[in-house]
Amino acid sequence: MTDDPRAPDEAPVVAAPGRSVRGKRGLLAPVTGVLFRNQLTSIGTLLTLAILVMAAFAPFLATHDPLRTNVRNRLQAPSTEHWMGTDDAGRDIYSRAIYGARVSVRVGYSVVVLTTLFGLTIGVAAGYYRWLDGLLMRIMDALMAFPTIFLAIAILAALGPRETNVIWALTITLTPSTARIVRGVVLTLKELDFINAARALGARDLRLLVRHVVPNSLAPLIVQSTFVLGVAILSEAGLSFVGAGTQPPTPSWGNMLADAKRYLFVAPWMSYFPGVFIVLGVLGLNLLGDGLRDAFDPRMRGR
Amino acid sequence: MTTFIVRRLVVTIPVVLMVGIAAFLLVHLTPGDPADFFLDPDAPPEEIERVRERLGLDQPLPVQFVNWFGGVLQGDLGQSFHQDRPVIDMFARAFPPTIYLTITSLFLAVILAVPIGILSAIKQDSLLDRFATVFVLIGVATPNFWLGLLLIQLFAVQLGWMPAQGFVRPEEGGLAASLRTLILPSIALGYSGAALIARMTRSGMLEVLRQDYVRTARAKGIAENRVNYVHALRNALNPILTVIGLAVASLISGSLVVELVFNFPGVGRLVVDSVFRRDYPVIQGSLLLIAGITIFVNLVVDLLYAVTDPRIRYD
Repeated sequence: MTDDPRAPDEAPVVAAPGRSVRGKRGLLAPVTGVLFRNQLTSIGTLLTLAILVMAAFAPFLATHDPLRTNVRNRLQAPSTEHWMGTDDAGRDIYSRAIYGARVSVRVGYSVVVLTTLFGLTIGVAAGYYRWLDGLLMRIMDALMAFPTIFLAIAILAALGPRETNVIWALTITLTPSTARIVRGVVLTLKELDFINAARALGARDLRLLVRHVVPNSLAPLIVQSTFVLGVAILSEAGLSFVGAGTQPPTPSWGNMLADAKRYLFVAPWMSYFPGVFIVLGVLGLNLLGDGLRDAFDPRMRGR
Repeated sequence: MTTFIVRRLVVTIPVVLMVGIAAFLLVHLTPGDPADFFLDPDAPPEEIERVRERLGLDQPLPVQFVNWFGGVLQGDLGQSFHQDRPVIDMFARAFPPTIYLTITSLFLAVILAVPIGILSAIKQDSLLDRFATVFVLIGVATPNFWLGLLLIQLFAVQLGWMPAQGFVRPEEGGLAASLRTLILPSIALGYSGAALIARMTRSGMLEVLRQDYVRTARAKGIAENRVNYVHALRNALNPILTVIGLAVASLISGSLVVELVFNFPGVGRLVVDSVFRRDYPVIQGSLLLIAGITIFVNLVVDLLYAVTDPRIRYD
């Protein structure tokens, strides 16, 4: 399971957003400049958008009702009627996979928003206030000592397997790595002259944090969030596969694969497509993340 | 060195305590009552109370925690609610398969990933480097359980080369039979680790190859191989070690899911079963033990830094 966003090469970097993204045409030029800065990043952006489109327009893209069972049609191989075949209850796998994107997107983006919120708060507090640092970071260390899926399963055991609980479980397990990165950035920033200058001018802590520290932590935070998103999607699939995540009949890529496991010998196609969707979705996010990191920090380019 | 180890261990104490509290609280905040699992839904309240008393659940939380953690410190993880056996006995049966799986996966990952990483850094932008990049990108994005399903399909169902399910203990079926049952799960589990390690090895090597002393070595006319493998590699070992340490944690975590794919009788199976049965002592114990292993691995990695980089002195 690639469930570790704490890869040490994502070292905190204080970058200058806007560098190398200067465009002259139109308001969106800087953004598209980054998102389509090279081939791999473009693929990443397109894959990420494709998953979002799938989730948003699932009712229009699906050819069948993802929940409608039809026993006479069960375990059909892919055909023109059922592009990806049918499952053990005769449901259309293509339509279920399209709807499955909704779970991944809902869980993934909610986790990103929440981990960013908590990670930013904890990281800034720990990095900026020495007296909080020890306590907060020891708590983060303790959480990081539990492997992600183990901790998430234990949390879900306590809360019950529901989508909102999956979101909370993953938020708790993934916040420490974000907090750590933010803390690292803040520790570096705090010593820089412009912060001292602002303080000398009489800026209070809150203003310093909101106007100077947080905006300068955004670049590494954005990069981190693409990786958190990928990990969250993988973990949600893993949890649903184990039976602790999204519950049937709601289709998610993970629980579709759990169904597939039982029919491996008779209906191998059941296991192909949900997995391909997961790989493409996570691959897209990683490519996008690598591209953003290179754009924000030229020193990391090509590594 | 000894002072460093002692100091590191002392720093670990609050983390272990915190981990213990976290494991305990997580499990005890569960809304359901484990006593329900032993009784009819319409058992009289006195009966429920008796069971709660027997399980020690009638005591206040802090007392329960001290009882449990005190036992843990003496090597007693308590009794399983469900099986009426000491938790430690259940672990003695469930941990070895998981440890074997983790070790073989790590072994596969390292012997595959380190050479790939080194070569793709030395031959940057070559065909091999591109191949390595694709290997890494796919590896990081592929869920291990899906890879497991595909491997079963190809090697067990279609080709019939490997068993699809289960695990043969080496002491029961011999080493060869045991390894046969380990190969597919290890590949499924190890691939993502290999991807992480290859990526880090490559970037670590690239960083070192850019240094002035490498250029100096080349300028002196030292053979290319010697520069790469003696001068550069030695200095790239630290980041490689770090990522191997991280990979261990992620392998242990991943083993939980992979074990379910291959019906492996390891910790993953035990934890998932205990979760559904609300078997508190087993869940707490496995959380604590797994976290303990992770902390221990980190400690070992820290110590190895001193071996690979003589500049690091821990006293």
